[in-house]
Amino acid sequence: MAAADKQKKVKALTANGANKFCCDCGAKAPGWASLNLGVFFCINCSAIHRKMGAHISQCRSVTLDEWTTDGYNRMMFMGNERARPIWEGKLPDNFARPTDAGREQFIRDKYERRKYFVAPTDADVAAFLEGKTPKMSARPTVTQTMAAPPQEEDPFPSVSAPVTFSPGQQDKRSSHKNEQDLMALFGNPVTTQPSPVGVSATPAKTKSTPEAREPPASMDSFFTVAETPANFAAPAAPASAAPVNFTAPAAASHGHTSSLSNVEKVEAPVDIKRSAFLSAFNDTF
Amino acid sequence: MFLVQKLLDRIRNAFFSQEMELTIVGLQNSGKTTLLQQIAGIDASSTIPTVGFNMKKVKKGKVQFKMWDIGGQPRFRSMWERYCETCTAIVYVVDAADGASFVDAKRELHDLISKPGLAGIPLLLLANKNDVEHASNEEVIEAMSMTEIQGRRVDIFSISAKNNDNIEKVLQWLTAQAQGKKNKK
Repeated sequence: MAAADKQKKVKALTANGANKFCCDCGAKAPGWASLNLGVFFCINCSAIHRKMGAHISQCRSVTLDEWTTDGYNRMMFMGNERARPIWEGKLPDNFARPTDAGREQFIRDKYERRKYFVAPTDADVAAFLEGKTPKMSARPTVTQTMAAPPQEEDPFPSVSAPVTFSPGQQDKRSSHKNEQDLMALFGNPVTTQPSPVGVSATPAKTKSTPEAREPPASMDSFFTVAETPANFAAPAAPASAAPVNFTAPAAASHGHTSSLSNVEKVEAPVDIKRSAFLSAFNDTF
Repeated sequence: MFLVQKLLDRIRNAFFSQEMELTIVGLQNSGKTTLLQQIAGIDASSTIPTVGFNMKKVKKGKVQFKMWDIGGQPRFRSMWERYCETCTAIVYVVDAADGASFVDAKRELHDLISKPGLAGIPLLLLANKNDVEHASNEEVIEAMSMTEIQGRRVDIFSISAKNNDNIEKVLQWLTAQAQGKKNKK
């Protein structure tokens, strides 16, 4: 029952904004998702995701798989909109997305070889937690994406940016050193065991930027990402009223209850969301 | 002359060939469809997730294989039992490179073979994707608690359905089961 509930919530996510389109080829109504990447894609692209192996992308069906709270949180925290500046940060705006022969090459370039990858900074992570799409430096064009897509044939408008971090940090993000810091922050990129997650989440808190320490964004603003918040928040109604309860099961299901339950008692809600986010994507970045 | 040959073949097949039904199950993305296509000699370079099942009939030597490949998502797992009941052998595929899936894979395997209707049906466990660097056959055997399984023939091979590695061995095993079944009758 609970699993069916989660599935409905995940299904509801695919009705919002960029999640309505495959993140790789732009096909409508993607029915498949990657648990560790937090993106939605179509069945044809899922073939390539599966082929790359579970260490790159853990492919799940929106409707045929059972979903956990942790899985749902991953999809909600990330989603196509926010994943795009990370995985396609260096992708030219006029790039023609292959839907046929070049599909595998493109998807492998994107995730396996990380050709277009731009690592998110602390500030970006903070922006994620406020439910905003961070402006990544490699994508200078600014247009509004969150408005209802006027023409359906453009599922990949230029990334918009509610800018949540200072220009200074923006300059910093492109340096190699910063990227390494980030790797340290997010921990070992290929961690599959849950135990080290708690360990890496702890230093992350000490390094958190002022943005992350700011008073918690209300859950309302968190949900404004959704094009149609009602659609999105309705199944989560009890949870959105109480953010603490909302993220707690994610921590528990991830298998490092001890470290996180301490966090929950002491820290502000943003930090709880932050550690849930870090634990969810620790193995991705 | 050619037609006569064909006719003779057909008669011979009708009397001497053996039929074997086998069911390929396992978690999603373990390589079931790729294995099926590899055995059937179809290009296995790209497979989309199976929604429902695939069925292929292949003749190898004297044996006609009828192979069912059932989707691995939780939604389809309740169907596994029904397809396995009538089959000669159960082939269970595990993604040996995905350690995080072993717990689920073990639970589903032991759930399946503990069904009374499936008692005694030979089981072949395939640790697939041995071409991937961190795939480990030993870990699979350990994680699946293979030594606990009793009352049936159990074998374990490390294969790569993608690279056609050890598929010959799988076919030999399957053929042996088909013959064993015939001798029993």
